[in-house]
Amino acid sequence: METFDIAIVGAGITGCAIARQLARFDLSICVIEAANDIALGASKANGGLVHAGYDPAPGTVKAQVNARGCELYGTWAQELGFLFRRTGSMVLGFNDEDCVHLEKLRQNGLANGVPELSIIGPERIHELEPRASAQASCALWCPSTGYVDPFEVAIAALENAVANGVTFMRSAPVEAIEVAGSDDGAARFTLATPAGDVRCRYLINAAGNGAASISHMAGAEEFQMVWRQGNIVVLDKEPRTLMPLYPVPTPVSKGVIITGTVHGNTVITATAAVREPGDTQTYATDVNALLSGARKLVPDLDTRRVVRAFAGGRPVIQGTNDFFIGQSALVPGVFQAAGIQSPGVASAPAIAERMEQVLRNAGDDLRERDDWNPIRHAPDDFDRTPLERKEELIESDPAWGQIVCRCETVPEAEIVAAIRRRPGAVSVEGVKRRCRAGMGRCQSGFCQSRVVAILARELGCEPSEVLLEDAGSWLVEGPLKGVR
Amino acid sequence: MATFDTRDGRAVAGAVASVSTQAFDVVVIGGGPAGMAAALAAHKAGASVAIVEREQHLGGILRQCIHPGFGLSHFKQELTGPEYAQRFIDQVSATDIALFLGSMVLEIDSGEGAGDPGTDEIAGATAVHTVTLMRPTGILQLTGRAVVLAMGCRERTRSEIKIPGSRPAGVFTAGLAQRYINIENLKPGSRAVILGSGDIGLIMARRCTLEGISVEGVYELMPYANGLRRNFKNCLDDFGIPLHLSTTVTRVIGRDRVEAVEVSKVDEHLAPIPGTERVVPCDTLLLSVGLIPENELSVGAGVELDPRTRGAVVDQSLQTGVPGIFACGNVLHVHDLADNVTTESERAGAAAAAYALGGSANVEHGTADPVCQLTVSPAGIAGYSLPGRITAAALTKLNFRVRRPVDAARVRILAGDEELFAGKVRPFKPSVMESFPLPAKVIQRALDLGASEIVLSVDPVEEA
Amino acid sequence: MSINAIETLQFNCTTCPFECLLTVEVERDADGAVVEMRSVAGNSRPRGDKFAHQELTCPMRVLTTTVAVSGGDEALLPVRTAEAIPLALHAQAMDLIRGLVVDAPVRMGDVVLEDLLHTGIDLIASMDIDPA
Repeated sequence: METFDIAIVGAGITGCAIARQLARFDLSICVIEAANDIALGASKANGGLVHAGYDPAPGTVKAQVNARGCELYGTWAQELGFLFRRTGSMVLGFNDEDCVHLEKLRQNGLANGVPELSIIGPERIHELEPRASAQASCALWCPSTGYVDPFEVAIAALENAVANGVTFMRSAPVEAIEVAGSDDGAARFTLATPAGDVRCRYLINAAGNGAASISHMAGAEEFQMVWRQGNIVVLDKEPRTLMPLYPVPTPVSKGVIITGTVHGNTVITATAAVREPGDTQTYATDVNALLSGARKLVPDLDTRRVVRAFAGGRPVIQGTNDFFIGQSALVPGVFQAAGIQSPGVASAPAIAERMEQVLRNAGDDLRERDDWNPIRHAPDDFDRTPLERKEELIESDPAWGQIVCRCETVPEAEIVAAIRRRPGAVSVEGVKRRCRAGMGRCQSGFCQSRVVAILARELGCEPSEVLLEDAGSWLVEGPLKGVR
Repeated sequence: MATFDTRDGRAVAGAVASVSTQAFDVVVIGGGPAGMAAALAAHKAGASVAIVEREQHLGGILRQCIHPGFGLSHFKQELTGPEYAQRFIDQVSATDIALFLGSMVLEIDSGEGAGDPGTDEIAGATAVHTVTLMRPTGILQLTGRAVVLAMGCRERTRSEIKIPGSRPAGVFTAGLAQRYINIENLKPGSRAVILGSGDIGLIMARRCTLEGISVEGVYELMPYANGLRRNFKNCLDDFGIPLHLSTTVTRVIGRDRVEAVEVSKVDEHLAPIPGTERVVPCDTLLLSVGLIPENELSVGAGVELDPRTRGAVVDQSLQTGVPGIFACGNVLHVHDLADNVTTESERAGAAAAAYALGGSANVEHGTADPVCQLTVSPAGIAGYSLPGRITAAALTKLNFRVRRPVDAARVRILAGDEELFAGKVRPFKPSVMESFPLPAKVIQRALDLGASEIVLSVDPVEEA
Repeated sequence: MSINAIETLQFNCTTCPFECLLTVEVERDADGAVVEMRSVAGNSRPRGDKFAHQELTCPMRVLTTTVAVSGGDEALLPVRTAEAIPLALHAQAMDLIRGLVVDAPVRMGDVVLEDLLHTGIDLIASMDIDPA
């Protein structure tokens, strides 16, 4: 059994960001993930928007971490080498009533510390986004909004954490937590997982939709998770990437938002309906609502160009719309980062920062390591690389010249790198999230069999053992011919 | 504070000094049936020709289409896909056509002004197209006086037809399953449901059955079957596989691997009928729900697409809106038979060679006439018409497909209010790519009337 | 005394791209075996007649599948029967073919297996396979 100062349960964007933040200190840290890869829960079912923070109610934890998180993204992107575009966004209003609402939203944003908010008219709207609906009469212009690839942020943060000594345990669902003795500085928590038990002094609960169960197992706060499910649609790349456009929000949701992505696609996000926990099905009603909602914002949208529709559950704590970040009042040593629903991606760097503060407040004198490296170098992205660099890469290894995914121009060497990085990809979807092979318009119709062959070779297994995603998601059985 | 991102950071190739360049009259992109036929025709016309192919072998998708049904019209003999391909591979190998295999085109650069319709089309003044490609030995640029686009098509995916439900392993496009079974020697599952009664779906029903994968049924959204009759007979009837019309998959079930699909009957508007849901246990769902021309490179080169075909808008010589760039085969419009791809591509290759060598693409199609600028539009139940532009008053082959099957309809050619031509009454099916010769005198008549557009209308006829 | 049944069947001819819909009248004996094909209508060419007869007595199909390759640049060789063989033999032929392995190189037309299941028809290669 291994012993750590801190065990972080959950390798979603929240857990990964916290791991990255705390890796700078002289602490032994383990990130324990139930699934076989990073960001497979709520972080996966996400539109990638870095919301600016004008809509959470002032005074809430959300309001504090959202605007701060958005602010931190510039530094995080630079240090961790992930793509981040601070494009600004508009909330479109279509009538006088909307306009009144937008002014309220602006006031809200100012109270939350969101910079440079202004109300603009039709001319400016179409200057900023020519494809915005001509019916839009007013808008809240928010220059600090941006977007990221949420997988890339989580992966980059954890790669950096691991490079700084953090241990990552995957396929390790926590099945029981034993709490021994009093909080005297000894490792008092024992977490039982099928991948081995882990002892730790502090337990950080960043388990997303599993947070209530972790808290319960540790004897900490009892709460219930509500599975507020959202469907999301990705459309094919556009010659010019769309600015994020929001409708006037409703009390429960930001409504159907349309945005560009760092890779030039268009994303429509997200519906909100309470469904059975664990339900990641897409629904025809939701997808249609997304497409029609998006057309209100961008009427010329070609909705035939759907590349992918997916769904996930926002980890909402029943009875509150706020995040729950802090030390447990019942079990000292348990730290909660629970209920991280929307805007979890935007808030992640600030949640990590806040968690550091919470640990300090709990009396831990966090000592900085002198060998901490904040920099994570992104792997070479062939498609985005200049021609001269492409040549260099191919010269260094012919596998850079061997295209596997034609839609996203991903050569074999980039896939191999995605598997060999730490923590590396162990599945077809894991490869896709790291280097986009299979992410494009053909949805891996051309490249899946090649990615399977590369995974089998790199992992030293048979193609029949290669998984699409997590355990049980086998893609092929054995060979058909040459067998008796 | 705001920055406006338009795919920034994505490298644009352009001409780079360090990259080595080879010059050809005609550069053909794609080494499948279309590319090989175009290259052979261009070579025969005296052009120096290069073929750029992504894969290590010529043949394209035909390598995995191991079933018979090819060559009946071109070779007057029923061949399998690989045999059909091999005959062309052997012909190409016997020439000095330069082959760039395992090579992926990154960009086609037509230089400044090449996309300008006002550009002079005389040989000396033709823009030279630069094709940047990568392969395991490095980056290379090929220049061509003419380029033939022959990249083929891709399969429509689950997402494009918006099948709801979970996203487990085991949902494959029919072509991917075909690749696993026929190329990779891997069994994609044991118990399959097939959505889509097009030829690929039917062929896969038989392939699966023969290879020990049980096929629970073929489901078709439309009230009619989409494939060739021979395929219903030889692929379904021979094996007792049921075909369910007006039925579609309304939900994928299974968290990690497909466990079942829910199918529902659909109404006359193709909307699922509540209460008709039925759960069909299976571990594999194969989708054969349409093909889409792969035109990302074409768009990058400034080629205008027809939203109906999702292929290039071309003239009668298969030249796109960018002078010197031609298109043929499934990248232009989805064909029914490889034989038709061959015939069309031979025209494109010959026209590309004529353009490259002599400055005009219209060797066999009359000289481009500056006063002849007709657009061609579909009407009635015609889903599209090709070519979209006619620039010479010469015999022109019109291709089209109908949107729904009819027992009795006729083709009519209209210019303004005048009917220039009416074909005989006969049945039409959406699965057939129709070919219709448009006589020079009909085009001339439209010009005499001062028309700028002719309409190809397929109109159902009420039986008397 | 005749207890033979007369049956009218419809199916498409597949000998050429016309795919004519044939209407066939057959006489079957008590066991269902075809005694006589009484008439064929709908065919535009004489070979439709022959096809209908064959189809009712012993349907013949070309079998296409793959064979494992050893030492080639592809894992599988596409193969076909040189001519149609009885449809009824396809499953048995597949069982036999499943275990075969051929050595590269192979040329299109090479015989992979002679006289498949004593049909007198060879199993032949559909494509060239080069050595790895």
